[in-house]
Amino acid sequence: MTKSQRASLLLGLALVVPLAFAGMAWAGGASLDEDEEDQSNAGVSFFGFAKDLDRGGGVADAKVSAEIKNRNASLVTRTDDQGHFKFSGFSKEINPKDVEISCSKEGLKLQRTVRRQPPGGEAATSIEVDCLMVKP
Amino acid sequence: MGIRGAARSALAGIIFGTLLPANLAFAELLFDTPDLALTGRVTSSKEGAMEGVLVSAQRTGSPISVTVVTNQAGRYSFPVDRLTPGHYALRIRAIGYELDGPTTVDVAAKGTVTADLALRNVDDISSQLTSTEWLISMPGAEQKRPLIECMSCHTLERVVRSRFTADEFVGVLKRMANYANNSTMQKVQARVAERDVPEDRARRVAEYLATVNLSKRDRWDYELKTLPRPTGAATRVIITEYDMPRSTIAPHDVRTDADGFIWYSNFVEPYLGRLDPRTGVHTEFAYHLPKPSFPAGALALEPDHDGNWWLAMMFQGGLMKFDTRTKTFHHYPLPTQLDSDTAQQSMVMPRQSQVDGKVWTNDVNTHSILRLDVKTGAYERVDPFQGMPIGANRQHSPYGMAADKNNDLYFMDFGDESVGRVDAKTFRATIYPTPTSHSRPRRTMLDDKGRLWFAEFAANKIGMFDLDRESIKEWDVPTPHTYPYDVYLDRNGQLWVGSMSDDRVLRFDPQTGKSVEYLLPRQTNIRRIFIDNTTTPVTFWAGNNHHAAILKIEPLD
Repeated sequence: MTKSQRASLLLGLALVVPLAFAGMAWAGGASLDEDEEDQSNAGVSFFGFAKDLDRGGGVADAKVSAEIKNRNASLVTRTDDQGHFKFSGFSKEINPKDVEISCSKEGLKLQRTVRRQPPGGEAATSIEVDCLMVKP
Repeated sequence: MGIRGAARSALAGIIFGTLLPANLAFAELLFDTPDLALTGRVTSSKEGAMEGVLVSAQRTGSPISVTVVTNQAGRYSFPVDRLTPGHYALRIRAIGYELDGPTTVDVAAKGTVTADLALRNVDDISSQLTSTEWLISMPGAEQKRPLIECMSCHTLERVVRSRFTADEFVGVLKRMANYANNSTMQKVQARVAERDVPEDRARRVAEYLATVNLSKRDRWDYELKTLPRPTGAATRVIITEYDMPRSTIAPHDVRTDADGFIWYSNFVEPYLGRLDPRTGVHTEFAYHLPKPSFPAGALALEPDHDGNWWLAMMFQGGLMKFDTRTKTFHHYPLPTQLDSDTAQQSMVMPRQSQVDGKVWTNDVNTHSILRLDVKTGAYERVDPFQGMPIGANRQHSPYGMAADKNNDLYFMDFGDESVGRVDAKTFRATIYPTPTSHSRPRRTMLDDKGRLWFAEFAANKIGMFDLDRESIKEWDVPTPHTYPYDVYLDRNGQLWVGSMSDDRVLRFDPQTGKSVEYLLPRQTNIRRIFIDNTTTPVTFWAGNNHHAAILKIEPLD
């Protein structure tokens, strides 16, 4: 094995171990009852609106990003016609404070995001974050 | 047909009636249609002239069968360049009908042969239903969902015709869960690593299945619903099937090359296959099994920049490259530490490997992505789902792949609901959930406008991801329970869609929403599809994974 192969393996195995399980799967590769979602490892979800502070109302088709601190990964979605978005949830191992939501839209700039304190406090299962946008 | 033609037909019928099989309603030679080798009308006592009946002709001893479809007047027509002179067997497909026994016809070197065909109603249509029609017919909603996995190996007719009780089904389900993905009815392959199915889940499915099969009754107590026969544009098509020399051959991914050959991956055997559609000559290139005690066969087949073929080796582990110049294979095995009894590479993406010498693949077992350095043979692993929701029933699974000009990877999360991107330089992953939840996007293709087209298997939709806008648009496919496997955009901006379940190929215009569904001549389990844009009109290619055939569809408009 070459040095580069060993280095790749070390990197890989460090990541493999946490995921080295095979969920119950069918011959085709999926579970018997795929639509019955197992929430046992589901953490907090994020939802909110992109709002146009100049014109009022929601911003449709805005790009919404959820960056996860120290994870080299992000989730991206777009707002619907009312400016609403939702990320369906992260695993429990993710601290909600490490998730940063931002929005972008051509012709507008993000002034700030507002994270609303969920009623459940630390036990909350969803957190609302609104993107407040203005003309540049 | 005019009076003169009718009179000539009657005369010819008298002359040739005794020479041709009695079950041909009528036969004649026509001399005024030099462009046709064989034509005729299809009728039934119930409907009269029948539109949308598939008529297939296969010359004795030939592996090639050609199919045309009757028009509104019930007429079918085989052009002269599609049938060489010889003795042909004819068969039809029209739900609810059958020919009265086998039918043959002799096609002459000159002139047009006419063979009118009479159909009769079948007493029992159950053997003619597609899996899609069974799913439409069965009662229930969400209880049916697990059945979409069964179609990887067999049709749903096998399920509903069974007589297993719920208790017996539990054992059947547990047994089948230990079959490899790359199994067919002709070649069942067991996994090396055993999988356990939780009793409660197996029982839940088993109890439903026992309500829709024949365990408690001699006939199904629900109405058997059927899809309509083709009409209009769906009848203007020529379909050619090339039978493989062994029934065990399972063509999975099909691709054409610059020389006009058709290449395919064999899902259950250690061969790369090649077909010359001009001659029907079939060639196999054998490779050694790296892990002889593991299930054989490869899934994805993709070319690199130099036209060499790459195979994803499934349970054999790693990737295989076929050098088209030297006709030799080179295996890139997984390193020992990544290899295991459950290691499985189903996808490969070498199309932009000339950029950086890297080829993408996946590891189904660890829900992750691997990247091969072609020069060193080393694999790097990327987990694009760090921190994303994951649970026993929400497991991510990178599947269909495409690469952009920088060899950045775009992949489908077949286990869940997202399109993913991995930056080739930084391994940074970006996940884009589809608007429809649990859509299970499957195979994909990247067009030259930077749009990723993909099949949303579980959502019954087609998706498009715009790389620049980072946005996803979706379209419903017109027939419920189609479960599209793959999609391909042709040069006219029309989408072609294939599936494992409905024996139809969808041609869909995303601009207008108009669609045409071409019914196929027989049960056809389609996986990867390919459009040859060099022909006019374009030509559709796919494999019939369960019935050892390559399928060509040529629309006539």
